[in-house]
Amino acid sequence: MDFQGRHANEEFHLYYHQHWIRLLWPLTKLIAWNILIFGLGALTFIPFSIEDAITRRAILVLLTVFFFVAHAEFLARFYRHFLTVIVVTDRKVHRIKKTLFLIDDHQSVDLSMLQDVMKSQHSIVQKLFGFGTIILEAQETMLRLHFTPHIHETYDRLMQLREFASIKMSSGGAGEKPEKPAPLIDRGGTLRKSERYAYSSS
Amino acid sequence: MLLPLISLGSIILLLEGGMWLLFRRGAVRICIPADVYVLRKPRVTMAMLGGFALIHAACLFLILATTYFFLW
Repeated sequence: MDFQGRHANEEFHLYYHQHWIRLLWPLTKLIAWNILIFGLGALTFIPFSIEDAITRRAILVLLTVFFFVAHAEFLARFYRHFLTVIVVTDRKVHRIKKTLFLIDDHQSVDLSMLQDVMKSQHSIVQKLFGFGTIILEAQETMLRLHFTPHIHETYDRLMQLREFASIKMSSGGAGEKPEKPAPLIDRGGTLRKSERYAYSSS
Repeated sequence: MLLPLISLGSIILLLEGGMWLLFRRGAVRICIPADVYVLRKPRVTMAMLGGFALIHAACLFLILATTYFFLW
């Protein structure tokens, strides 16, 4: 799979977006705005019959504008969620973060340069839904991967790849080649959960 | 009644289509697969997101057209 900033000899291993819980607040806000707009409309139009067509239409247009603004804001947040991607290859961890208009940010850390990899879950919600923050500490950089879904699996996978990268680097390509972790991509359709688990723990 | 419906349709098309085009432009080479067949895990694909945009646009139009039909 191809992505921006990929080097020619990098092998893709896994990618993920942030946890879906990030979309919960925009969705709640959208629902609240819709309730407010339709509530205001009902309170305005149902008890009073507004005879003046211009006033009635002006109120309707005003409520429609608010309705569109609420949906546009939600759409922007929704698409922004999918424009933030973490890509892990056999050499690097890339964090690509974009917005619809302004931001195009690409940060990457070399797996063999990682001094420490930490994971943290700080609340019941995070434990319950299995997400958290992974902190990658390299020599002068620190990459925080917030809202990482399936945090334990992802952490294990990162450790495996880091180990592979450091063995590869220390051997310098000479001698016995280390066993390479299989990439999480194939051409054969989806796997069941048990198979995925067996695969990730192998 | 026809004029507000056409205006609403145009605004929705502009909003939804514009957002989708901006997203498509940003999502080039960003690891969102075109379809699910290449993946072990079921993930969100461009086709799914396009479907979402279509359904969202249709819902917006239906809701607003119904409201305008009664209140315009």
